[in-house]
Amino acid sequence: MKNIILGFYGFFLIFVAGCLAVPLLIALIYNETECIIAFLFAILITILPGMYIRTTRGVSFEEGNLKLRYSYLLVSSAWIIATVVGSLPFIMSGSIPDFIDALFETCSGFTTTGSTILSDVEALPRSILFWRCLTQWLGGMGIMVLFVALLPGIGIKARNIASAETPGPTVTKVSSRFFETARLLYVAYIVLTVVLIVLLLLGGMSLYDAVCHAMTCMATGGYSTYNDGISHFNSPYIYWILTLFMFIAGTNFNLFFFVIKGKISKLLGDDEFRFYLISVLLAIVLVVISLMTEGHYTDLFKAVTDSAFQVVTIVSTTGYATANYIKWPAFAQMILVILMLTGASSSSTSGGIKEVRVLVFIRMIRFEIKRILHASIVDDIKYNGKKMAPETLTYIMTFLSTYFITLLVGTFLISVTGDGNLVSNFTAALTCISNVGPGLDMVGPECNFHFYSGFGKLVLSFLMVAGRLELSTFMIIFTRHFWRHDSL
Amino acid sequence: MIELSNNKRFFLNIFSIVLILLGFSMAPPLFVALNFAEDAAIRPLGMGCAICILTGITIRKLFDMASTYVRPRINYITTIFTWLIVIAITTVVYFYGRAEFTWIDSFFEATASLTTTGMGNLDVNVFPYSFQLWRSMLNWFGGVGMILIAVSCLSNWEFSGHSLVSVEVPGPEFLKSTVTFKNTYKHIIFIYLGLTAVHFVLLVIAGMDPFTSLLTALSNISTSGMQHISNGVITDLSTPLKVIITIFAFLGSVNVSFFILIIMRKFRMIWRRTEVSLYTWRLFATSLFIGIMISVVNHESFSESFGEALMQTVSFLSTSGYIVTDCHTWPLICQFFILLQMFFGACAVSTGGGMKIARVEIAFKTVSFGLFRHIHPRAVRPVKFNRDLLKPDQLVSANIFIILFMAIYILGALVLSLDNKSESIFDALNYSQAMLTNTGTSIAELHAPGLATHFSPLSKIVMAFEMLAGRLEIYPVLMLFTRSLWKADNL
Repeated sequence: MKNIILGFYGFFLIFVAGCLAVPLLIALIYNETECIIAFLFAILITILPGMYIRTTRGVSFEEGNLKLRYSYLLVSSAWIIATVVGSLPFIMSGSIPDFIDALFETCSGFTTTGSTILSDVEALPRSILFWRCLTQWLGGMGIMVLFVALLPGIGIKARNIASAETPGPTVTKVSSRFFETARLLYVAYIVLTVVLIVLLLLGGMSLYDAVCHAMTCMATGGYSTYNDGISHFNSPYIYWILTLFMFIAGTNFNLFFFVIKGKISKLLGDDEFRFYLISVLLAIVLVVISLMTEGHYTDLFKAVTDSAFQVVTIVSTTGYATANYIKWPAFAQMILVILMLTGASSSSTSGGIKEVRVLVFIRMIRFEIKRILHASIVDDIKYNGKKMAPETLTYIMTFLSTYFITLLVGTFLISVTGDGNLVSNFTAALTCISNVGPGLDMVGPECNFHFYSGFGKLVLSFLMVAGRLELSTFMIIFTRHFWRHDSL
Repeated sequence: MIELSNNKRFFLNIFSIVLILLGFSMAPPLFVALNFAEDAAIRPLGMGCAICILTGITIRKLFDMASTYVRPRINYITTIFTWLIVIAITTVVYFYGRAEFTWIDSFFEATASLTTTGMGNLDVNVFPYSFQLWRSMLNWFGGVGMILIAVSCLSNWEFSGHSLVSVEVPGPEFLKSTVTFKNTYKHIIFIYLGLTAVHFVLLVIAGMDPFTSLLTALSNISTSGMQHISNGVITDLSTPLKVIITIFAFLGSVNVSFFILIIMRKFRMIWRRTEVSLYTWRLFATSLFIGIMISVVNHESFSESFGEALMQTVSFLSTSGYIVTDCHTWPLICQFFILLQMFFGACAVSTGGGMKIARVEIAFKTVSFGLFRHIHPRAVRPVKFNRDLLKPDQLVSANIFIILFMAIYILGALVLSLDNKSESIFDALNYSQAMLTNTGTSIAELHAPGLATHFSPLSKIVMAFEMLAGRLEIYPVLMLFTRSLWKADNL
């Protein structure tokens, strides 16, 4: 057992070192000496223990030896390792000298949150900015899913790993073997990213910008290489392309295989997709009306562009900045907060509660009312035409309760030190747990998280990872049940 | 006598009793109005009183009332429609009694009075005496009436209903003490009448004038928040009065089974297995935390700040919402605590509102249960509440309720954010919370609770619905929007 786990860590460290080599390449291209040293150093620190473990410990390749709970531990610890290692270049290049700040920034990257503590992004070297965006791309589809896709059969049930990391209550099998599914998911992810890069290039972006933004957009992360975010480009074409791709990044990736196989009707017949589409359209319409009647907008096209962009960027939990929505009417802001809560589809790169859970919850309420009115009713809650198992319903309820309780506890903890005010702290906790990025008031799209104390930043980082790993995966390693009895 | 179906008889039975009670509630204010020669109040109160009592008695004379068991559906329908009709009648009386009220204002005021929400259109001080008294009496009827509904009507109401009382007070013994529902009603009414009387006497002894004491007693037992004393800000009262008020606000927000156990002399059971003990612990823990925070931040003596924190915590945890201390100067974290307390609310089957302590406790247990299930997917582990096993559907129901509560809170805030009075979403969220939990005091206005005067008619209607939803535990109000409620075969 120990061999499997250690072997896993060995592989994983080498894998992370491999990821760090990409920004090293960029540093070489742009000839940023400090960054070359920083990345080289980070790679060395990572690869040496990895190699050591690989050479001293044999790795067993028996699939399925590991208990379910250890896959949770592996996934959670892998995220922590990735975050710590990933923050090294920031510290060593001197871009973010403070350790906790760097940790927060990397955490926000890997979890595709996009909250930042930097007030001047453009001052950073290009390779560091590239690494910042790459962390989001890696975290988007799941760093472990990528790992599993590249290295099948390292003694861990890939399915367990994926179900611990993939957003949403269900993991659909597209292929008979799980690592193949993981591979297919990544193929879809890469293809979409490349298409987006090409489209952005056509919109007049430089190659570097196009790659960076395509990565953060497909991952629904929201980091940008400019201080004023996407509004830097000031081009409706780029706004709409990004809106479209953020929407796509928020849909269930398994649905793409239906599309590839030509089953468009199956895509439109999917309950979650329909709900997602309708709620996004409804939100856009409401925000446009609100902006046109109460806001400062006179041009309808601009109002539609801005509201569509902001609605989609929030619902897909990306969090790009175009318009400063803090200045919008309260009604529009309230809609954005609701969207921060719901998030987009399951098995996408987005965070939040997920549309499927919201949908099932609405059906449960309807069912509950029917049950009260007609005590002896026999009826089922259906999803995509299939009856939902009672356990799934319990899981969904548990998730929702856990989500709200974590949100309240998180707000409480960051308020302890007395930073910010209630709105800022509540939306900061909300935006981190849903992996969105900006919040309201003091943490709005034109502000940053710098003013929180070290403790506050750690709590927010915790919330980001917990939110990214669907709460339970990360939180169970802090329960006493986890460590009891037959540990290791 | 006219023959009717069983369901109709049941509905008319409850409805006529409530109508007669409402009529009688207008009698004392009517005397006050006659005594002080408040001309504007005499006619609406007199007419209302006469019409309600006469209609009630006529219904009882005309129809045969004996009904047998009815389906839960009929219970819910009876509850919601009786409430709506009572609110409608109250609205009419307010409209004709207060010249400055529009129909929407009157509707808001009526709902706020009956749902024990401490928010009004006007300072209650400017009301004539008769209406001040009537408002407090409506508070009392709303609060105690809710307990009666919870205990009897809605028998399958998961956590506030009969099931919980019978869980806490073991079945046979509870039945022995109260053989029929009629007796249960009597017991409960006497308990609360007694409490109100004691409260009144203590206040008079402590030096409050009798009329204000009466209003305070009526409004405080029902956890409404004492609107008649400078809109719920009681910082100027003497310490003994504050202590008395705190104690009785606490008693008002305690599960009714607490009193039944006391009457049955089962003292040990109170601490061993009831929601009340949980509630008390939570109360002390919160006050302790806030007390420490205040004494550290504001450099006050600990005993003093603990006392202040305790009194203020009772006010919000019981969802009364009166202001005892200058809590707007408290540190941020303490204000956040107040916000949480309002959500958690009081005990089930009490006059308080909110999500209810029992449900919140179950939600916390569900979280830990969920995490356990992730580690041991096939394990069977029971979830307990008060040392009793919870059925899976009870567990799910409690959780659904909490999420539903949050959903209504957020959707309510969405509509309220359209209002010009909400400058930010924070205001909208706060007002929504104050309404849904029946507290009436928004956390942004801790220095001086505001009035509903400046809200738009749409907001007022939404707020009234939220108050009613909070008071009736959401489902009956949601049912109004379902098709199956309106089918002809219901009654």
